[in-house]
Amino acid sequence: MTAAAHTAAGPRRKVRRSFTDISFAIFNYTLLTCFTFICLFPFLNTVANSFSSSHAIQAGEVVLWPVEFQLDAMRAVLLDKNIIRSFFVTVFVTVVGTAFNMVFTIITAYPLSRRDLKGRSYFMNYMIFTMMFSGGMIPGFLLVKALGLINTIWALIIPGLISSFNVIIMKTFFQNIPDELREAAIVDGCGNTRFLVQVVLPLSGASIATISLFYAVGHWNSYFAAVLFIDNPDLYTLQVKLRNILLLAQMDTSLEVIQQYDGGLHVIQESLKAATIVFATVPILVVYPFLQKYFVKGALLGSIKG
Amino acid sequence: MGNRWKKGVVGSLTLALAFGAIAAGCAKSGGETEGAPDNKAEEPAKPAKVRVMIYDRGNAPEGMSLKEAPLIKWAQEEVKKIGIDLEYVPVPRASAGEKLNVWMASGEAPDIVFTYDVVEFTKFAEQGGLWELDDLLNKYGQQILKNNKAALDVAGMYKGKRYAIPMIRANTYTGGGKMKIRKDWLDKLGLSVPTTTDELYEVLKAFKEKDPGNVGKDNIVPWLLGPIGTGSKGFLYGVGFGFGLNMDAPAAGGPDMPTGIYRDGAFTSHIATPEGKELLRFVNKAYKDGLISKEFATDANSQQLTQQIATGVAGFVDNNDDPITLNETTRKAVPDANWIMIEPFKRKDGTQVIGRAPSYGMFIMIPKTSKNPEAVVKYLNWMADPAVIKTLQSGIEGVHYVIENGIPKAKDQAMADKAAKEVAWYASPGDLSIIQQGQPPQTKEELDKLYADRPGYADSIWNGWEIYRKFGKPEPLLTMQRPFAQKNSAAIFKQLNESVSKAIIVDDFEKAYAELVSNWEKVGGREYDKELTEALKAAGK
Amino acid sequence: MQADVQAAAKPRAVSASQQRAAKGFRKELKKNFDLYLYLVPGFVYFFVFCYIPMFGLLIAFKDYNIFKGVFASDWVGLQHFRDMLSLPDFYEIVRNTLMLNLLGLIVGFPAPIILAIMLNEVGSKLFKRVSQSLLYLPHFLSWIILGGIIYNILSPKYGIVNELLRSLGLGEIHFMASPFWWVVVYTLSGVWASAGWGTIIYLAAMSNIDPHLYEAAVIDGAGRWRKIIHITIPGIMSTVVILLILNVGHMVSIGFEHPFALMNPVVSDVAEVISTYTYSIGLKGGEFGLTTAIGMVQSLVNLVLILGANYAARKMGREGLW
Repeated sequence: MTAAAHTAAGPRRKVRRSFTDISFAIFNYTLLTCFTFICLFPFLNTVANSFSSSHAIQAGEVVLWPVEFQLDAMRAVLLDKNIIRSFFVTVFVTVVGTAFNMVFTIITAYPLSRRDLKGRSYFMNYMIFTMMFSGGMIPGFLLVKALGLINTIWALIIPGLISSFNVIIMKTFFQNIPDELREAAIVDGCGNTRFLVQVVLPLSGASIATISLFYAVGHWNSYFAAVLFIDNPDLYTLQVKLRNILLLAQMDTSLEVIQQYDGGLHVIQESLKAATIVFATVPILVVYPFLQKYFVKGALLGSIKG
Repeated sequence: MGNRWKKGVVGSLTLALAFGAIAAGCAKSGGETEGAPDNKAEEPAKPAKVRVMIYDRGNAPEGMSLKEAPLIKWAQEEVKKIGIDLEYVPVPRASAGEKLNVWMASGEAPDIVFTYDVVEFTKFAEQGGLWELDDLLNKYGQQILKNNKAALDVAGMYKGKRYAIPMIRANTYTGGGKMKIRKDWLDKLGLSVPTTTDELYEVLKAFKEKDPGNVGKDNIVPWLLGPIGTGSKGFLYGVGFGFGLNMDAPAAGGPDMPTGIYRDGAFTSHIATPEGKELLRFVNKAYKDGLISKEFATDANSQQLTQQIATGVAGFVDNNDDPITLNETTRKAVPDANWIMIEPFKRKDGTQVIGRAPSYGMFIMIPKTSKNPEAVVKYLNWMADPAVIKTLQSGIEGVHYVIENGIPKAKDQAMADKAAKEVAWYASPGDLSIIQQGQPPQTKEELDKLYADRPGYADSIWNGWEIYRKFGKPEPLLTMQRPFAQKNSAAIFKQLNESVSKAIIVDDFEKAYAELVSNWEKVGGREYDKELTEALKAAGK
Repeated sequence: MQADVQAAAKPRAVSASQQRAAKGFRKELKKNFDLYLYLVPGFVYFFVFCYIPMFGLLIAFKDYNIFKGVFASDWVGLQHFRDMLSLPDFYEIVRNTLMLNLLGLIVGFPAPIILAIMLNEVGSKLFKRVSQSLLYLPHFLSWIILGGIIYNILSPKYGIVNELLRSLGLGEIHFMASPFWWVVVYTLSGVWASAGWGTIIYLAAMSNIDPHLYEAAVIDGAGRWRKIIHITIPGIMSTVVILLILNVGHMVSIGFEHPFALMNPVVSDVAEVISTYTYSIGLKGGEFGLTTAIGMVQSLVNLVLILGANYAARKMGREGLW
């Protein structure tokens, strides 16, 4: 019915508007392509670096394509069993962490999205206050220690369990679901929980995908929590090593080296740095395209209404 | 169908969550290792547990890790014999500062911690969180007292009591910035090595006008400099000394030039002295004459500086790199490039000075929360034995090196590779043998034998050591408390780091210099100098 | 006597309305008991992980000794706050923070909305999917890397941008040495790094718009622009307002990595912000008291701002955060 209605009114108008339509489309595509390329550029540069020789990188010769091609850097990263182990740790934290995050975020955001819930503004105050004020690094550490989470993988999942920001976004999305649906459901004798699970969640595919992505990326990129709470290198996440190399490159530790010239301070080569970055970034990048199918224009919405 | 599935997912997730929460609540943290291990019932005396901090520089070769490194295992085996159960706690080097703070605040710190930052050490000592070490050293640390005497004499004390064992730097022929110049360019132009700042200027101008390296007059960068004082790789130490500045006060994070002059009973910071003004005028003129890259002040992460070395367009630079390192890099683009280190410039009074690394390196501390300070000192004492130091720095004899003509050398490439894979990456920075950094050869003959297979190496290294031996002067270590400096030095030097670069790139130097000094005064520069004068007097200078 | 009578009468009257209110609340509780139950885990979480550690704010009033702990350290009252106000560049760094944030808001807030609208109008599904995925790439590279790349491409001597300018006969611009251009670069690079990310939220909001609205509009003869203005934009307005309020609620705070990666001594007059200043002065010297005090003041100002923004939104007839 919907498709027919569109085309029924369509053809004549399409022909008349074709010039403006085409010029808009060209403008649109061109601008988007430019901007996309600008966003792509640093990443392509890093990938090119990871396959170039360190000297070429230092000499500023690498732009978008490898110079003095070599596979050693990539090989070193992929064969490093410590990096592989930290990869799996990161995956675990991301998957399990995001699952926990989503459950708690949804059950917190839904009640807050109900305008008829008395006292919800008190809870909002309570939550927003925590977004504004923080006790700092040391009290946070002491708390995690008191809970016995130091050096466990849960220290990377539980302290960040609920993000106020994400709850607010989720709540806003929930509020966009028309009240008529709920009224109809009440008439049918549907309780809150059933309504949440059977109506709200299926209609919130896009919001769930969005917030899951935010949490997943947050877990994947997090570094500081891992450094603070984890002493056991077996539980390091990918970012720990990556950040360490990147930040070390900016510190002047030249006076820490023994002045012996055999072997030396094994300064991390530029190409190795780039290869580590690529390895640490690519896995999370491929998550997003998979989530995109949830961004389909409210298809389910129409069907329920009908 | 979709709804039931969703419900199932939510339901099982909730169950998983509940389980996980219970597990987290009940689980004792896996890494809990305080207290002695409980599986040594058969030994009469339980070995004392000693946890040692060790830096993780992220540079482990594939398949290697700090836990599996052979020297670490060797150390653990050896100290079992003296009743110590050794455990290493790695810390990513870049976050060591934060980690140390949370450790100290929460009582979770290992038994041995350390820092290269004297300010950090002083703070911990001041706040009462460290064990006092005088008695412990006398009882259990005789070897340390012997081995580290030079360092112990000058560092690690707070208010007359010892709170840190300073690592001894066995090789102080480094630091302070090495001036290096392209000998191949000098030779091409028939010029001799500059011995004064005026001669340097002539040489740099000749580089620019005649382009001996044929890199293009627009590309050549005769004087390689970075934004002053922001950790860049281009210093003004060498030229600063050449103008008569001294290192009469400790460096405190300010611009990379000699800190100032203590003269007629008063100390004046570098920029406020007439010598300092001449130095800055010199650099300003060089910038105007195109001898310095127009973008040096915005090269915030030394990217361009590195690039200019790598492409061989740089002629003169003053930083901590060895000429050997620079040659390795530059020769990839210019095979007959030849960087050499040059002697300090002759000043008006005929003297030559170069800054020199102090005899101490990092500060080794024992947090008060450690239950086994005696065991810790015993461990460090064991380490202070020259034979142990040798192993911890070079590897196990016969496995990673053999002694040939009294010199440790790799027998063949396979052994050299093994040493690189299993030893060098963590032993070279001295992360393991924290009691002493380096065990350099003492004579030129030893050096020659060590590098017999690398022509030019031994000569270059020896040349550098001679320069430090003849002209090196370390900065003074002052023990008097300086509260004004403690509060304000960060702000003062931050101000200077910004202003010095600006004073170099402007046209009206006099005006910029006057502003520089008045801004410095506004943030407390004069009080800083006054306090330093008193500290220097108290130190008997 | 009369007073006694009055006093006797009053409690009864109060308790009657009180009872009505209590009954009302109990009724609410019963009606939506499960919803209140759902809020319990969140309540506990925020209490444990956010409110309990807030004792750390006391550090702002103490001479913090990390071994004695927060409670046993000496009290210094408002000393740190006084120190903060007498910091040499205090007003400058606050001004810079506000300026950069404001510019970031003015330029950076509309950008993801515009991008999302543009993407929404794209016909080719493949193009849309590919674009969406690529736009958020900069989010994954840390500023340490991005800063280096920016310096590279903007270098007067070696960079692409100036090469282009020279070939067009426009001469060179030393972007990173000019206070004006540095601010432009900072703002635009901020947009570049985060716009793709923001589009994700708006696209999600757009997918919630009822497609029937679009069809009805077509029947009414609406062209592309009218559809955007009358359907798409109103459809995402609630999300826009919320995000705007949240952004205003961060006006006085600024991230550390972005300014730090782009800073250099020549532009310090505009580049030094609160976070970079605290880093070099506070953290390095272990000045926990000062940095906590600064953070606390920032939080207070942000709180006032977010309340103000929320109030303004509600006054304009929109639903705010609360």
